[in-house]
Amino acid sequence: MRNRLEELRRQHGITQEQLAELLGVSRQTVGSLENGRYNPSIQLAFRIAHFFGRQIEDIFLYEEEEN
Amino acid sequence: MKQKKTGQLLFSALGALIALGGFFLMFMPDRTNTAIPYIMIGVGCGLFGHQFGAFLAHRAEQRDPVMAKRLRVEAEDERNQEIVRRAKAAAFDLTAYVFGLLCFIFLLMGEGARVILPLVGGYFFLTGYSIWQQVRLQKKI
Repeated sequence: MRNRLEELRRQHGITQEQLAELLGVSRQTVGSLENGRYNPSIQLAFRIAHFFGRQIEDIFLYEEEEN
Repeated sequence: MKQKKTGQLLFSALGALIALGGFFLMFMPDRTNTAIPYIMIGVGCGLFGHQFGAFLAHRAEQRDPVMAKRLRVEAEDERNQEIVRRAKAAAFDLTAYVFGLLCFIFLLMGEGARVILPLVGGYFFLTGYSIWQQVRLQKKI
């Protein structure tokens, strides 16, 4: 799943480390989320959306998988 | 907190005593049971390591709250927990091959049912436990 986490983080002018601390996760998790290697739990997705003042679907872009 | 630390120190001392007792029994000249000293060493070292490790961790937390917070975040981090879960699942999948290989090696070594059956029993126990956990989680989640 693609996401706009890195873009939003840069807009807010914060580092991965700072975002990680604000969300209560490790910096590696933020990096993995930004790279699209890891999809967050619904709780973490809500925390991220709440932090940026957006809807979840504004940040995490759902794509239908092709069979 | 102080009670917890005292308990950890007491259990550490108990573990060290059990392990030392095991070493003492190991070198006794006329001992009849050969397994007990080794069991005592294993249990004693395990108890000592676990309890003293917890004591040192608590002490480190109190001395460096920033590091303690970082360690707590790392432990509670959902990606780290997912990694641990996946690693455990992968390791469990390997057990079938490990048990099978061990049975085969013991057969080649000429060992009989006395060795093979506990291994097979252990494997079935793990498989049964896995199925029981699946049923439990199907109801829970």
